[in-house]
Amino acid sequence: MQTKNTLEIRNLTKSYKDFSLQDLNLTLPSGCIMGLIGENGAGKSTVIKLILDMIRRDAGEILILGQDNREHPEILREDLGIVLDDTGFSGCLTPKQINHIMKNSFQNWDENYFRGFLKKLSVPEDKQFKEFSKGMKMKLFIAVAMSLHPKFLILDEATNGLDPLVRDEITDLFLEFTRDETHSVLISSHIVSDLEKICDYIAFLHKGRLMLCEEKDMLREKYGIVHCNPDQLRDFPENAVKGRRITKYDAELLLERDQVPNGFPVSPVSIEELFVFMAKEEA
Amino acid sequence: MKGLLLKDLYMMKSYLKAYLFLIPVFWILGSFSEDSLFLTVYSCLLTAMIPISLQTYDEKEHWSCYSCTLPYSSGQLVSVKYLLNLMTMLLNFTMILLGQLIRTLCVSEFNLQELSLLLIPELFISVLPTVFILPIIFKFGAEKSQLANIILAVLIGVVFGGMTIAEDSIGTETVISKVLQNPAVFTAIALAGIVILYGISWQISMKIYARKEFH
Repeated sequence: MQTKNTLEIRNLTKSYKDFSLQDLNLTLPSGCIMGLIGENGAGKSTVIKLILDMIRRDAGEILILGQDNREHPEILREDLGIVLDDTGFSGCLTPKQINHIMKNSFQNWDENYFRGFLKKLSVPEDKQFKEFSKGMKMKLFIAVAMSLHPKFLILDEATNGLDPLVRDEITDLFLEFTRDETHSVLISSHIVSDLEKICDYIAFLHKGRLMLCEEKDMLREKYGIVHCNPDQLRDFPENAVKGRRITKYDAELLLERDQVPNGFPVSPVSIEELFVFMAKEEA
Repeated sequence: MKGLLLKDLYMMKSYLKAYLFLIPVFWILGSFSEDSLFLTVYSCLLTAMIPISLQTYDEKEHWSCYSCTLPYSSGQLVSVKYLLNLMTMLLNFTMILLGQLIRTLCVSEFNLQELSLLLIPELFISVLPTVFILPIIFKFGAEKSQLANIILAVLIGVVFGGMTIAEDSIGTETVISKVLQNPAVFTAIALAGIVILYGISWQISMKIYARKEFH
Protein backbone atom coordinates (compact mmCIF):
# COMPACT_ATOMS: atom_id res chain seq x y z
CA MET A 1 0.00 0.00 0.00
CA GLN A 2 1.43 3.36 -1.00
CA THR A 3 1.09 5.95 1.75
CA LYS A 4 0.71 9.64 1.06
CA ASN A 5 3.58 10.58 3.34
CA THR A 6 6.87 8.77 3.45
CA LEU A 7 7.81 10.19 6.82
CA GLU A 8 5.71 11.63 9.61
CA ILE A 9 7.26 12.81 12.84
CA ARG A 10 5.00 13.99 15.64
CA ASN A 11 6.14 15.72 18.83
CA LEU A 12 9.50 13.98 18.83
CA THR A 13 11.59 14.65 21.91
CA LYS A 14 14.99 13.41 22.99
CA SER A 15 17.00 14.85 25.85
CA TYR A 16 20.64 14.52 26.77
CA LYS A 17 22.54 16.17 29.58
CA ASP A 18 23.71 19.07 27.40
CA PHE A 19 21.35 18.93 24.43
CA SER A 20 17.70 18.33 23.76
CA LEU A 21 15.59 17.91 20.70
CA GLN A 22 12.29 19.51 21.45
CA ASP A 23 8.86 18.64 20.15
CA LEU A 24 9.83 18.08 16.52
CA ASN A 25 7.10 17.81 13.88
CA LEU A 26 7.95 16.96 10.27
CA THR A 27 6.11 15.54 7.29
CA LEU A 28 7.79 14.38 4.10
CA PRO A 29 5.34 13.64 1.29
CA SER A 30 6.07 10.78 -1.12
CA GLY A 31 8.08 11.69 -4.18
CA CYS A 32 9.87 14.61 -2.51
CA ILE A 33 13.31 15.48 -1.27
CA MET A 34 13.60 17.14 2.12
CA GLY A 35 16.75 18.87 3.27
CA LEU A 36 17.48 18.98 6.96
CA ILE A 37 19.64 22.01 7.50
CA GLY A 38 21.38 23.05 10.66
CA GLU A 39 24.70 24.08 12.09
CA ASN A 40 27.03 21.47 13.60
CA GLY A 41 25.36 20.17 16.74
CA ALA A 42 21.90 21.38 15.74
CA GLY A 43 20.49 17.86 16.08
CA LYS A 44 20.38 16.65 12.46
CA SER A 45 22.12 13.35 13.16
CA THR A 46 20.04 12.89 16.31
CA VAL A 47 16.86 13.18 14.23
CA ILE A 48 18.16 10.64 11.70
CA LYS A 49 19.30 8.22 14.40
CA LEU A 50 15.88 8.52 16.04
CA ILE A 51 14.21 7.80 12.71
CA LEU A 52 16.40 4.71 12.35
CA ASP A 53 15.76 3.78 16.01
CA MET A 54 19.48 3.74 16.70
CA ILE A 55 18.72 5.87 19.73
CA ARG A 56 15.53 5.74 21.79
CA ARG A 57 13.10 8.62 21.74
CA ASP A 58 11.81 10.08 24.99
CA ALA A 59 8.44 10.99 23.49
CA GLY A 60 6.65 11.33 20.20
CA GLU A 61 5.87 9.21 17.18
CA ILE A 62 7.73 8.36 13.98
CA LEU A 63 5.95 6.79 11.03
CA ILE A 64 7.97 5.57 8.06
CA LEU A 65 5.97 4.51 5.01
CA GLY A 66 2.93 4.54 7.30
CA GLN A 67 4.48 2.19 9.86
CA ASP A 68 5.83 2.92 13.33
CA ASN A 69 9.62 2.80 13.10
CA ARG A 70 9.89 0.54 16.15
CA GLU A 71 7.52 -2.13 14.88
CA HIS A 72 9.46 -4.81 12.98
CA PRO A 73 12.33 -2.48 12.06
CA GLU A 74 14.19 -5.34 10.37
CA ILE A 75 11.34 -5.65 7.83
CA LEU A 76 11.05 -1.89 7.40
CA ARG A 77 14.78 -1.60 6.64
CA GLU A 78 14.26 -3.62 3.45
CA ASP A 79 12.64 -0.48 2.00
CA LEU A 80 15.23 2.00 3.23
CA GLY A 81 18.50 3.06 1.66
CA ILE A 82 20.71 4.58 4.33
CA VAL A 83 23.96 6.50 4.16
CA LEU A 84 25.51 7.63 7.42
CA ASP A 85 28.47 9.95 7.50
CA ASP A 86 30.67 8.38 10.15
CA THR A 87 29.69 4.75 10.02
CA GLY A 88 30.56 2.02 7.67
CA PHE A 89 32.06 -1.15 6.49
CA SER A 90 35.09 -2.82 7.86
CA GLY A 91 38.22 -1.44 6.25
CA CYS A 92 39.28 -4.86 4.99
CA LEU A 93 36.17 -5.47 2.88
CA THR A 94 36.12 -4.95 -0.88
CA PRO A 95 33.01 -3.91 -2.84
CA LYS A 96 32.94 -7.45 -4.25
CA GLN A 97 32.71 -8.88 -0.71
CA ILE A 98 30.19 -6.22 0.30
CA ASN A 99 28.08 -7.38 -2.64
CA HIS A 100 28.10 -10.94 -1.24
CA ILE A 101 27.25 -9.73 2.25
CA MET A 102 24.35 -7.60 1.04
CA LYS A 103 23.09 -10.33 -1.29
CA ASN A 104 22.80 -12.59 1.73
CA SER A 105 21.22 -9.90 3.90
CA PHE A 106 18.60 -8.08 1.82
CA GLN A 107 15.82 -9.68 -0.20
CA ASN A 108 15.71 -6.69 -2.59
CA TRP A 109 19.45 -6.63 -3.29
CA ASP A 110 20.14 -6.17 -7.00
CA GLU A 111 23.63 -7.45 -7.74
CA ASN A 112 23.68 -6.39 -11.39
CA TYR A 113 22.48 -2.92 -10.52
CA PHE A 114 25.17 -2.62 -7.83
CA ARG A 115 27.98 -3.69 -10.16
CA GLY A 116 26.68 -1.41 -12.90
CA PHE A 117 26.50 1.44 -10.41
CA LEU A 118 30.08 0.90 -9.27
CA LYS A 119 31.19 0.94 -12.89
CA LYS A 120 29.22 4.12 -13.56
CA LEU A 121 30.78 5.83 -10.52
CA SER A 122 34.26 4.40 -11.28
CA VAL A 123 34.48 2.56 -7.95
CA PRO A 124 36.94 -0.37 -8.13
CA GLU A 125 35.46 -3.73 -7.08
CA ASP A 126 38.60 -5.34 -5.68
CA LYS A 127 40.10 -2.53 -3.64
CA GLN A 128 39.78 -2.60 0.15
CA PHE A 129 37.44 -0.07 1.74
CA LYS A 130 40.23 1.41 3.89
CA GLU A 131 42.13 2.41 0.74
CA PHE A 132 39.22 4.43 -0.60
CA SER A 133 39.16 8.23 -0.56
CA LYS A 134 36.30 9.94 1.27
CA GLY A 135 34.54 10.54 -2.05
CA MET A 136 34.93 6.89 -3.11
CA LYS A 137 33.57 5.70 0.24
CA MET A 138 30.54 7.91 -0.11
CA LYS A 139 29.96 6.70 -3.67
CA LEU A 140 30.14 3.11 -2.46
CA PHE A 141 27.63 3.77 0.33
CA ILE A 142 25.30 5.42 -2.13
CA ALA A 143 25.69 2.51 -4.56
CA VAL A 144 24.81 0.11 -1.72
CA ALA A 145 21.80 2.19 -0.69
CA MET A 146 20.50 2.52 -4.27
CA SER A 147 21.01 -1.17 -5.11
CA LEU A 148 18.32 -2.07 -2.60
CA HIS A 149 15.77 -0.23 -4.78
CA PRO A 150 14.58 1.56 -1.66
CA LYS A 151 11.43 3.61 -1.37
CA PHE A 152 13.07 6.00 1.04
CA LEU A 153 16.67 7.22 1.02
CA ILE A 154 18.03 8.64 4.27
CA LEU A 155 21.35 10.44 3.97
CA ASP A 156 23.20 11.94 6.89
CA GLU A 157 25.85 14.43 5.78
CA ALA A 158 26.35 12.35 2.64
CA THR A 159 27.95 15.15 0.65
CA ASN A 160 30.25 16.56 3.33
CA GLY A 161 33.96 16.48 2.59
CA LEU A 162 33.42 15.73 -1.08
CA ASP A 163 34.86 17.81 -3.90
CA PRO A 164 32.36 19.85 -5.95
CA LEU A 165 32.47 17.47 -8.92
CA VAL A 166 31.59 14.39 -6.86
CA ARG A 167 28.94 16.39 -4.96
CA ASP A 168 27.36 17.41 -8.22
CA GLU A 169 27.44 13.83 -9.51
CA ILE A 170 25.81 12.55 -6.34
CA THR A 171 23.12 15.21 -6.09
CA ASP A 172 22.15 14.42 -9.70
CA LEU A 173 21.68 10.80 -8.65
CA PHE A 174 19.20 11.84 -5.98
CA LEU A 175 17.25 13.93 -8.45
CA GLU A 176 17.07 10.95 -10.79
CA PHE A 177 15.94 8.74 -7.90
CA THR A 178 12.93 10.94 -7.06
CA ARG A 179 11.67 10.93 -10.65
CA ASP A 180 9.70 7.94 -9.42
CA GLU A 181 7.04 9.56 -7.27
CA THR A 182 6.97 6.68 -4.81
CA HIS A 183 10.58 7.52 -3.90
CA SER A 184 11.57 10.08 -1.28
CA VAL A 185 14.78 11.39 0.16
CA LEU A 186 15.68 12.90 3.51
CA ILE A 187 19.11 14.47 3.40
CA SER A 188 20.87 16.32 6.16
CA SER A 189 23.78 18.65 5.60
CA HIS A 190 25.29 21.88 6.69
CA ILE A 191 26.32 22.56 3.08
CA VAL A 192 23.16 24.44 2.24
CA SER A 193 24.02 25.04 -1.43
CA ASP A 194 23.77 21.29 -2.17
CA LEU A 195 20.37 21.07 -0.58
CA GLU A 196 19.15 24.24 -2.23
CA LYS A 197 19.82 22.63 -5.59
CA ILE A 198 17.86 19.43 -5.07
CA CYS A 199 15.33 19.78 -2.26
CA ASP A 200 11.59 20.31 -2.53
CA TYR A 201 11.23 20.89 1.21
CA ILE A 202 13.59 22.57 3.63
CA ALA A 203 13.62 22.02 7.38
CA PHE A 204 15.76 24.29 9.55
CA LEU A 205 17.04 22.88 12.80
CA HIS A 206 18.73 25.16 15.26
CA LYS A 207 19.90 24.08 18.71
CA GLY A 208 17.52 21.13 18.71
CA ARG A 209 14.47 23.12 17.68
CA LEU A 210 12.75 23.13 14.31
CA MET A 211 12.71 26.75 13.18
CA LEU A 212 10.70 26.10 10.04
CA CYS A 213 9.76 23.38 7.58
CA GLU A 214 8.34 24.51 4.26
CA GLU A 215 8.48 24.03 0.53
CA LYS A 216 11.67 25.55 -0.84
CA ASP A 217 9.87 27.62 -3.48
CA MET A 218 7.42 28.89 -0.88
CA LEU A 219 10.31 30.06 1.27
CA ARG A 220 11.78 32.01 -1.60
CA GLU A 221 8.40 33.54 -2.39
CA LYS A 222 7.60 34.31 1.20
CA TYR A 223 10.84 35.90 2.34
CA GLY A 224 13.03 38.65 0.96
CA ILE A 225 15.90 40.90 1.94
CA VAL A 226 15.60 44.62 2.31
CA HIS A 227 18.66 46.87 2.27
CA CYS A 228 18.36 50.15 4.10
CA ASN A 229 20.36 52.49 6.27
CA PRO A 230 20.31 52.11 10.06
CA ASP A 231 18.09 55.19 10.50
CA GLN A 232 15.32 53.56 8.48
CA LEU A 233 15.08 50.57 10.82
CA ARG A 234 12.27 52.19 12.79
CA ASP A 235 10.04 52.02 9.66
CA PHE A 236 9.84 48.25 10.03
CA PRO A 237 7.52 46.65 12.61
CA GLU A 238 9.67 44.68 15.06
CA ASN A 239 7.66 41.46 14.68
CA ALA A 240 8.00 41.57 10.87
CA VAL A 241 11.79 41.33 11.01
CA LYS A 242 12.90 37.69 10.94
CA GLY A 243 16.59 38.44 10.83
CA ARG A 244 18.99 41.34 10.59
CA ARG A 245 22.58 42.22 9.80
CA ILE A 246 23.40 45.75 10.88
CA THR A 247 26.62 47.67 10.46
CA LYS A 248 27.43 51.33 11.15
CA TYR A 249 26.56 52.32 7.57
CA ASP A 250 23.87 49.94 6.35
CA ALA A 251 21.41 47.28 7.38
CA GLU A 252 20.08 44.11 5.79
CA LEU A 253 16.76 42.81 7.03
CA LEU A 254 15.05 39.52 6.40
CA LEU A 255 11.31 40.02 6.17
CA GLU A 256 8.18 38.33 4.96
CA ARG A 257 7.55 40.05 1.64
CA ASP A 258 3.95 41.03 2.48
CA GLN A 259 5.15 42.90 5.55
CA VAL A 260 7.65 45.12 3.76
CA PRO A 261 6.56 48.80 3.87
CA ASN A 262 6.00 50.49 0.51
CA GLY A 263 9.00 52.07 -1.13
CA PHE A 264 11.58 49.51 -0.10
CA PRO A 265 12.86 47.24 -2.88
CA VAL A 266 13.00 43.56 -1.90
CA SER A 267 15.86 41.33 -3.06
CA PRO A 268 15.44 37.55 -3.34
CA VAL A 269 16.91 35.49 -0.52
CA SER A 270 18.88 32.28 -0.89
CA ILE A 271 18.17 29.36 1.43
CA GLU A 272 21.62 29.77 2.95
CA GLU A 273 21.02 33.46 3.73
CA LEU A 274 17.60 32.62 5.13
CA PHE A 275 19.11 30.06 7.48
CA VAL A 276 21.96 32.31 8.60
CA PHE A 277 19.65 35.26 9.25
CA MET A 278 17.16 33.18 11.19
CA ALA A 279 19.76 31.30 13.22
CA LYS A 280 21.50 34.55 14.19
CA GLU A 281 18.20 36.19 15.12
CA GLU A 282 17.44 33.20 17.38
CA ALA A 283 20.84 33.49 19.03
CA MET B 1 22.11 -14.12 9.31
CA LYS B 2 24.19 -15.59 6.49
CA GLY B 3 25.32 -12.11 5.45
CA LEU B 4 26.62 -11.34 8.95
CA LEU B 5 28.49 -14.63 9.15
CA LEU B 6 30.00 -14.02 5.74
CA LYS B 7 31.17 -10.58 6.85
CA ASP B 8 32.85 -12.07 9.93
CA LEU B 9 34.54 -14.74 7.83
CA TYR B 10 35.92 -12.08 5.44
CA MET B 11 37.21 -10.13 8.43
CA MET B 12 38.80 -13.23 9.94
CA LYS B 13 40.57 -13.90 6.67
CA SER B 14 41.94 -10.40 6.60
CA TYR B 15 42.54 -9.37 10.22
CA LEU B 16 43.12 -12.66 12.02
CA LYS B 17 45.72 -14.18 9.70
CA ALA B 18 48.05 -14.85 12.65
CA TYR B 19 45.29 -16.85 14.38
CA LEU B 20 44.57 -18.80 11.21
CA PHE B 21 48.26 -19.66 10.95
CA LEU B 22 48.89 -20.49 14.62
CA ILE B 23 45.78 -22.58 15.32
CA PRO B 24 46.74 -25.34 12.78
CA VAL B 25 50.32 -25.21 14.10
CA PHE B 26 49.01 -26.12 17.58
CA TRP B 27 46.80 -28.85 16.08
CA ILE B 28 49.84 -30.42 14.40
CA LEU B 29 52.20 -30.00 17.37
CA GLY B 30 49.55 -31.26 19.78
CA SER B 31 48.94 -34.33 17.67
CA PHE B 32 52.41 -35.40 16.65
CA SER B 33 54.86 -34.17 19.27
CA GLU B 34 55.72 -36.47 22.10
CA ASP B 35 53.63 -35.71 25.23
CA SER B 36 52.42 -32.37 23.96
CA LEU B 37 48.68 -32.81 23.65
CA PHE B 38 48.37 -29.92 26.09
CA LEU B 39 49.47 -27.62 23.21
CA THR B 40 45.94 -27.96 21.81
CA VAL B 41 44.88 -25.80 24.77
CA TYR B 42 46.44 -22.89 22.91
CA SER B 43 44.43 -23.60 19.79
CA CYS B 44 41.32 -23.49 22.01
CA LEU B 45 42.39 -20.20 23.55
CA LEU B 46 43.05 -18.60 20.15
CA THR B 47 39.79 -19.93 18.73
CA ALA B 48 37.95 -18.54 21.72
CA MET B 49 39.38 -15.07 21.14
CA ILE B 50 38.05 -14.85 17.56
CA PRO B 51 34.55 -13.46 18.36
CA ILE B 52 36.04 -11.02 20.87
CA SER B 53 38.58 -9.72 18.35
CA LEU B 54 35.93 -9.40 15.63
CA GLN B 55 33.57 -7.51 17.92
CA THR B 56 36.41 -5.15 18.82
CA TYR B 57 37.05 -4.49 15.11
CA ASP B 58 33.31 -4.02 14.51
CA GLU B 59 33.25 -1.31 17.13
CA LYS B 60 36.43 0.37 16.00
CA GLU B 61 35.27 0.53 12.40
CA HIS B 62 31.73 1.67 13.27
CA TRP B 63 30.20 -1.50 11.87
CA SER B 64 28.16 -1.87 15.06
CA CYS B 65 26.44 1.39 14.15
CA TYR B 66 26.05 0.63 10.44
CA SER B 67 24.66 -2.82 11.15
CA CYS B 68 21.59 -1.10 12.67
CA THR B 69 20.62 -0.18 9.10
CA LEU B 70 20.57 -3.82 7.96
CA PRO B 71 17.48 -6.02 8.10
CA TYR B 72 18.60 -7.89 11.21
CA SER B 73 17.16 -7.87 14.71
CA SER B 74 19.39 -6.95 17.63
CA GLY B 75 19.18 -10.62 18.68
CA GLN B 76 20.65 -11.71 15.35
CA LEU B 77 23.45 -9.14 15.53
CA VAL B 78 24.45 -10.59 18.91
CA SER B 79 23.83 -14.24 18.06
CA VAL B 80 26.20 -14.19 15.11
CA LYS B 81 29.17 -13.83 17.48
CA TYR B 82 28.01 -16.73 19.68
CA LEU B 83 27.33 -18.82 16.59
CA LEU B 84 30.79 -18.05 15.27
CA ASN B 85 32.26 -19.16 18.60
CA LEU B 86 30.35 -22.46 18.38
CA MET B 87 31.38 -23.02 14.76
CA THR B 88 35.08 -22.33 15.30
CA MET B 89 35.00 -24.40 18.50
CA LEU B 90 33.42 -27.32 16.67
CA LEU B 91 36.04 -27.09 13.93
CA ASN B 92 38.82 -26.87 16.49
CA PHE B 93 37.69 -29.99 18.39
CA THR B 94 37.08 -31.88 15.16
CA MET B 95 40.65 -31.13 14.10
CA ILE B 96 42.07 -32.09 17.51
CA LEU B 97 40.23 -35.42 17.42
CA LEU B 98 41.19 -35.94 13.79
CA GLY B 99 44.82 -35.31 14.73
CA GLN B 100 44.59 -37.97 17.43
CA LEU B 101 42.98 -40.38 15.01
CA ILE B 102 45.77 -39.89 12.48
CA ARG B 103 48.33 -40.28 15.27
CA THR B 104 46.69 -43.58 16.27
CA LEU B 105 46.86 -44.81 12.69
CA CYS B 106 50.51 -43.72 12.33
CA VAL B 107 52.01 -44.72 15.66
CA SER B 108 49.24 -46.89 17.12
CA GLU B 109 49.14 -44.77 20.21
CA PHE B 110 46.02 -42.92 21.28
CA ASN B 111 46.17 -40.47 24.17
CA LEU B 112 42.63 -41.32 25.28
CA GLN B 113 43.31 -40.82 28.97
CA GLU B 114 45.03 -37.48 28.55
CA LEU B 115 42.55 -36.34 25.91
CA SER B 116 39.53 -37.12 28.07
CA LEU B 117 41.12 -35.20 30.95
CA LEU B 118 41.88 -32.23 28.74
CA LEU B 119 38.60 -32.13 26.86
CA ILE B 120 36.48 -30.49 29.53
CA PRO B 121 39.05 -27.80 30.54
CA GLU B 122 39.55 -27.13 26.81
CA LEU B 123 35.81 -26.75 26.36
CA PHE B 124 35.75 -24.25 29.22
CA ILE B 125 38.65 -22.33 27.71
CA SER B 126 36.88 -22.29 24.33
CA VAL B 127 33.73 -20.71 25.69
CA LEU B 128 34.92 -18.62 28.66
CA PRO B 129 36.00 -15.50 26.69
CA THR B 130 32.68 -15.45 24.83
CA VAL B 131 30.64 -16.18 27.95
CA PHE B 132 32.48 -13.74 30.17
CA ILE B 133 33.80 -10.93 27.94
CA LEU B 134 31.23 -10.58 25.14
CA PRO B 135 28.38 -9.27 27.34
CA ILE B 136 30.83 -6.79 28.89
CA ILE B 137 31.94 -5.57 25.44
CA PHE B 138 28.33 -5.23 24.33
CA LYS B 139 27.58 -3.21 27.46
CA PHE B 140 30.65 -1.03 27.88
CA GLY B 141 32.49 -1.21 24.56
CA ALA B 142 35.78 -2.91 23.70
CA GLU B 143 38.02 -0.24 25.18
CA LYS B 144 36.42 -0.22 28.60
CA SER B 145 36.37 -4.02 28.64
CA GLN B 146 40.14 -4.41 28.78
CA LEU B 147 39.90 -5.00 32.52
CA ALA B 148 37.59 -7.96 31.88
CA ASN B 149 40.26 -9.51 29.63
CA ILE B 150 42.84 -9.18 32.40
CA ILE B 151 40.49 -10.62 35.02
CA LEU B 152 39.72 -13.57 32.76
CA ALA B 153 43.40 -14.22 32.09
CA VAL B 154 44.04 -14.19 35.87
CA LEU B 155 41.04 -16.47 36.41
CA ILE B 156 42.30 -19.01 33.89
CA GLY B 157 45.75 -18.82 35.50
CA VAL B 158 44.25 -19.42 38.95
CA VAL B 159 42.17 -22.40 37.73
CA PHE B 160 45.13 -24.04 36.02
CA GLY B 161 47.45 -23.18 38.91
CA GLY B 162 44.90 -24.68 41.29
CA MET B 163 44.72 -27.83 39.20
CA THR B 164 48.51 -28.16 39.29
CA ILE B 165 48.60 -27.67 43.07
CA ALA B 166 45.80 -30.22 43.45
CA GLU B 167 47.72 -32.65 41.28
CA ASP B 168 50.88 -32.10 43.31
CA SER B 169 49.21 -32.52 46.69
CA ILE B 170 46.89 -35.38 45.87
CA GLY B 171 48.93 -36.87 43.07
CA THR B 172 48.14 -36.89 39.35
CA GLU B 173 47.16 -40.54 39.38
CA THR B 174 44.66 -39.94 42.18
CA VAL B 175 43.01 -37.05 40.33
CA ILE B 176 42.84 -39.05 37.12
CA SER B 177 41.48 -42.10 38.85
CA LYS B 178 38.86 -40.03 40.68
CA VAL B 179 37.67 -38.57 37.38
CA LEU B 180 37.90 -41.88 35.55
CA GLN B 181 35.87 -43.61 38.25
CA ASN B 182 32.82 -41.70 37.04
CA PRO B 183 33.81 -40.17 33.70
CA ALA B 184 30.25 -39.97 32.39
CA VAL B 185 29.01 -38.11 35.47
CA PHE B 186 32.01 -35.78 35.46
CA THR B 187 31.58 -35.03 31.73
CA ALA B 188 27.81 -34.58 31.98
CA ILE B 189 28.10 -32.13 34.91
CA ALA B 190 30.81 -30.16 33.16
CA LEU B 191 28.91 -30.06 29.85
CA ALA B 192 25.70 -29.00 31.58
CA GLY B 193 27.65 -26.23 33.32
CA ILE B 194 29.06 -25.01 30.01
CA VAL B 195 25.67 -25.06 28.29
CA ILE B 196 24.00 -23.17 31.17
CA LEU B 197 26.76 -20.54 31.31
CA TYR B 198 26.61 -20.14 27.55
CA GLY B 199 22.84 -19.74 27.52
CA ILE B 200 22.90 -17.17 30.33
CA SER B 201 25.61 -15.13 28.64
CA TRP B 202 23.78 -15.22 25.28
CA GLN B 203 20.53 -14.02 26.88
CA ILE B 204 22.29 -11.25 28.82
CA SER B 205 24.06 -10.04 25.66
CA MET B 206 20.80 -9.94 23.71
CA LYS B 207 19.10 -7.94 26.46
CA ILE B 208 22.03 -5.51 26.64
CA TYR B 209 22.13 -5.05 22.86
CA ALA B 210 18.38 -4.51 22.56
CA ARG B 211 18.68 -1.55 24.95
CA LYS B 212 21.88 -0.17 23.46
CA GLU B 213 21.97 3.22 21.75
CA PHE B 214 24.31 3.91 18.84
CA HIS B 215 25.56 7.47 18.91
